[in-house]
Amino acid sequence: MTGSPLLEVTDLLIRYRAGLFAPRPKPAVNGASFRLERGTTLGIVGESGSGKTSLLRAILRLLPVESGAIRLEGRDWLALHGRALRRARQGIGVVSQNPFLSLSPRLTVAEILAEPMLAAGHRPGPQIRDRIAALLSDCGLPAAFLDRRARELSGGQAQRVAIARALALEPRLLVLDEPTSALDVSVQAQILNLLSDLRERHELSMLFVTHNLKVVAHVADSLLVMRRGDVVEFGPTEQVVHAPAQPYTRELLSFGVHSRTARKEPS
Amino acid sequence: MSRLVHRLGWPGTLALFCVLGFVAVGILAPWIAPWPAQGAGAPNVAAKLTPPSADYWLGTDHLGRDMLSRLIYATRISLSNGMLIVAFSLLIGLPVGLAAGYFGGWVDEALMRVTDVFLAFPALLLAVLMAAALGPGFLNSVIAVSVTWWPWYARLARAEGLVLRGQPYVEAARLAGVSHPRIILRHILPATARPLTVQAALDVGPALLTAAALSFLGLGVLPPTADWGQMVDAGRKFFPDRWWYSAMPGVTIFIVALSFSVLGDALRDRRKGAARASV
Repeated sequence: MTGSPLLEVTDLLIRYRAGLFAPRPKPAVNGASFRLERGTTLGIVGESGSGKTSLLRAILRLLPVESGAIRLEGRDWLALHGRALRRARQGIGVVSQNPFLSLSPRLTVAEILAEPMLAAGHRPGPQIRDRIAALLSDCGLPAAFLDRRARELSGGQAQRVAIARALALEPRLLVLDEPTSALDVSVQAQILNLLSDLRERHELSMLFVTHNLKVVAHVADSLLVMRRGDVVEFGPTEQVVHAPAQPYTRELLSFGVHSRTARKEPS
Repeated sequence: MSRLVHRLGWPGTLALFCVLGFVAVGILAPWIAPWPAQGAGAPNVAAKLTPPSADYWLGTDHLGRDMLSRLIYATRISLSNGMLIVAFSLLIGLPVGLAAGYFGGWVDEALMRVTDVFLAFPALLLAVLMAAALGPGFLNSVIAVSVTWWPWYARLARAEGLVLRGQPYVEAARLAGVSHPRIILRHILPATARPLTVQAALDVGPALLTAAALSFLGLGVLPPTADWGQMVDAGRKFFPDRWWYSAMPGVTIFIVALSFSVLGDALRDRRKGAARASV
């Protein structure tokens, strides 16, 4: 099994349904193929409307797929349904763009972090609380935050909680959907540093979706560039950044200012 | 106290105390009614249709019973009538609506089409038909009105469920493998509590009015038990010469319905407490 990639997507086609008599719309993702090797990070880059979020949602099984295949750890990922899907999805951690929307406003940090564990069948009790505190400190927050609610946190702190939740079940794959886009620049750098720390410590594989090529270039081992539903470039980060084959990639590279300088800031 | 006024405003606070006052009157009826036996229905023919006086503050009815005592006893029936209608309706409408909104698709279609059937009839007509079919009586009138009432809660709850299922935090719970019933209990239901309590408070008044209307038509509780609607009806024959017979229960209904409505408005507009203001 060690030879097979963690995630393999082949000729994935996603099309949103239109009305009964409306003409068939252009596919949101038009035949995307890529592989994510274990322990590596793949950056998926593109402007808004490029299909990167649709691709991600299809991989999370939040969107139906028209054709193509997704294999996770060699298994047919699209064949899972109901309870089996629910169980299998616990092997994927997800962090979304805005932590204030993705964390329940009614629950405390401890309750938010306990939720995936309880769903996975852990018994409530002191062990869970210890585990939660450890998760939180892994993500750079003291245990004092356990009894706070999301609205009492700063953007960066809330995103750390969201990352801690994504890691609660020790996932093999971490999916990040624009995890830094709602944060200001100095906090972005801290979150990026945290993610690369966590990746080394937990040997995580990551899918990192962003519109900012410069941000992801630091984190990703390989890059996938999308435009209007098509994959226009896929290869090792070095190659894509230094010798972009497409003028579109060059254009993307010229946006997103010097995040390399921000990388050294303490987290 | 000042915090209460801060959160609900003066009219809301006043309405809250009015509602609590009526609830207390209902509970304490045997102890506070000046003529408890007459309140419960014992006739007192010698004093029939006496105008308001020192002995009978609000006058007496056609069997000589003290109006005030009758009204106090009727509070029990009428208030619990209104509240039970809302409670029954929530009990049916809330699960139906939340399931429809949260699951969507064919579940939504099926549940909401059934709901639409109930909404297709004029509400009072349906209630009268139901009450006529079930026969008069307290519980029957509650059921009859609830049947016409629950679809509104179903629609309200559906709208809430529809919005909430798309919230990123609900999606996050789903991705974390949390089961649907647990998501509904833990994330959806608590978020609907506020709009639904407001609606429920606003609705006790109209529910009570509808129940009173059924009683007025002779489809509510049976004498000698009294409720306000039935008392208005009984006094109709003596109007306007013995104006107090119909007027007293009428004014009571008006005050109670108004209190619930003002309280509902105040709950909807209530200000958040100091601890929450620091978002």
